[in-house]
Amino acid sequence: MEKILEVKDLKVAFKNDDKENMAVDGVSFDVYKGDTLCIVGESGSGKSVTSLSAMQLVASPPGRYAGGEILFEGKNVLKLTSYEMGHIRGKEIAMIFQEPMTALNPVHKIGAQISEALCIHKGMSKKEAWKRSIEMLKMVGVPDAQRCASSYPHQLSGGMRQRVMIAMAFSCDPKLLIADEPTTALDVTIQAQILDIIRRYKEEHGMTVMFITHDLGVVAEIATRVIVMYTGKIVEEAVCSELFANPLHPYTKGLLSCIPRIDQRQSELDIIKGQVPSSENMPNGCRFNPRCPYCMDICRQKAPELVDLGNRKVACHLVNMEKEVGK
Amino acid sequence: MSKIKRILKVLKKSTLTAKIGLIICFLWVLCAISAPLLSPYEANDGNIMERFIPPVWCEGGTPEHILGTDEMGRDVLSRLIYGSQISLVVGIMAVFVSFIIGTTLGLISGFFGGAVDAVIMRIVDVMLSFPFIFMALCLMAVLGSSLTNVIMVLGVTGWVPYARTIRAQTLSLREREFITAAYTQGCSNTRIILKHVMPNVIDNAIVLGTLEMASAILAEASLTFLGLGVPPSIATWGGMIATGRQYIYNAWYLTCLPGVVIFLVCLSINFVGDWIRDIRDPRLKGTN
Repeated sequence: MEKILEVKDLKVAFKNDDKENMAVDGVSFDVYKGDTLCIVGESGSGKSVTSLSAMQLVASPPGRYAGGEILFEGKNVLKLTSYEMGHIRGKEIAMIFQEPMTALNPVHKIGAQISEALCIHKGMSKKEAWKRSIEMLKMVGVPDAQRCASSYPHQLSGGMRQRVMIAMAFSCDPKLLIADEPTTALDVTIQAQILDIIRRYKEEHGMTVMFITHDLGVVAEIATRVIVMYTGKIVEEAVCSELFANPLHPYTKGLLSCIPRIDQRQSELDIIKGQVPSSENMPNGCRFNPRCPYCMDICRQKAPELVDLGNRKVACHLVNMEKEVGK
Repeated sequence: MSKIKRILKVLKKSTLTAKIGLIICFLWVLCAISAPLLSPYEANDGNIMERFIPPVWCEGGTPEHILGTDEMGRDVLSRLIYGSQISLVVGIMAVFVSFIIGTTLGLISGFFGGAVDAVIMRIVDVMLSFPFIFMALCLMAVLGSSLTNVIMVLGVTGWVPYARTIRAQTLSLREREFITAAYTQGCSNTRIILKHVMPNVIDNAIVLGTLEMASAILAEASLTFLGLGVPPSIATWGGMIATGRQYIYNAWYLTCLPGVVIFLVCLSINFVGDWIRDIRDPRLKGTN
């Protein structure tokens, strides 16, 4: 399969006082054309920073690309000038944000905001772009698109605004869509509709999707492949069905057992004990070891490598040992 | 046609203070534009035989000089009407100059931050640590007193509040998600500043501009009062107060009337400023 995005050993550092903290610490993965890749992780796991890096949007300062490269169709986007980046953003790679409430400019009409990318990238006149944006709004299921186009963001509900964001993102027919928790701020019925719009458009236009979320229900719904991140590192990467059927990393297992099940009576929900370690006191060895129920001596001394197990990858000493024993 | 209707509709809905402000400002502009038609006498035509005639409602007043005459026998009403031209020109031009300088510097400073910001803000600090009237007096003394110089001096010294407000707002706006979203659409820095940041901050600058217009009129009056503003050959409100000051005990109206006019005009400008802010608010705009 053709790769559309290759992330190679990406390191992103943030300066905090005098110290530099690695928000993303050596992450490598590929996104294949037509795939839906989900990146899962708790808050602070570096999933948003990874996705923002793909558009060279990490604010610097305080952020800094400390190493690695991100190849989009063979070009390293981290080395492009902001002018060159302007031709990729919106046209080749589009992005949807978590908070539709704040991602729209309050002083411009909806139609004008969707038109903007069309005017920049397709050279359309304002009138043409306006017409096209009404079509886009219809496509994402906005009733009375004409009126919506000439209203201001504060006049729309959250679900409507997220549809507008999607219409903006899709307006130039991007090859890659980065969706940073697009359903987190929405209620469940709207969530399903939004996911449906993304999935339908992806199938119709052969778009690739990189989906950032912490909601495993959403992952199960749309992902083809899943990457699990913890403290700026990838701990597990697998095809979606395999990950849900047979999670290997203890962190993934923990995440899955945290989901409340409607078909089982539980007096208490499972949780992963402890907190995500702060960057100042990152544990030695495996970063998950203080919270891991299967923690061994080696976990406290040596950080596990991400090992390729054929069709999936995992970074865990326990899994490696089990494999050795199995041989 | 529909535009005129809309304007009328907006006017109808506006508050009482806005209406008062708009009426007074309208009269002020009207006076300035048609001063030769409206004023009963020439501003500098005096009759030394008719000095210190009090206003018509006071004892000894005549209907020929409704607001009385000054120490040279010049008609006060005519001078007030001609003075409105100066205050209008100074107010608008000085605010225009400082608005442009302040907004540009504020946007650049807030948006780019870093060294650019530091340099611009230090200049602002220097400007703030200088007493305005001292700086204005120095500049006027060097440049010589003329109307253009008054405008330039007020414009060049008055940009600081704009720069500070705009910078503060730009700083917080820059971190907002819709700016990041605009980047993801492929907008360049220039486009983001002009199309996404500026429309969000410009309203406050406009309101500030109206307030500053009032203070520019006051500043012109003060400079003229101190004798370094507009030359005495031109009738101005500030100049009228300055010369009337000597006669305040026997001809109170020579200082009071221009003072009242300055007060009314400045107050109305502030009312209009608030009104502009209200109608520019998109939350109110969408409702009609």
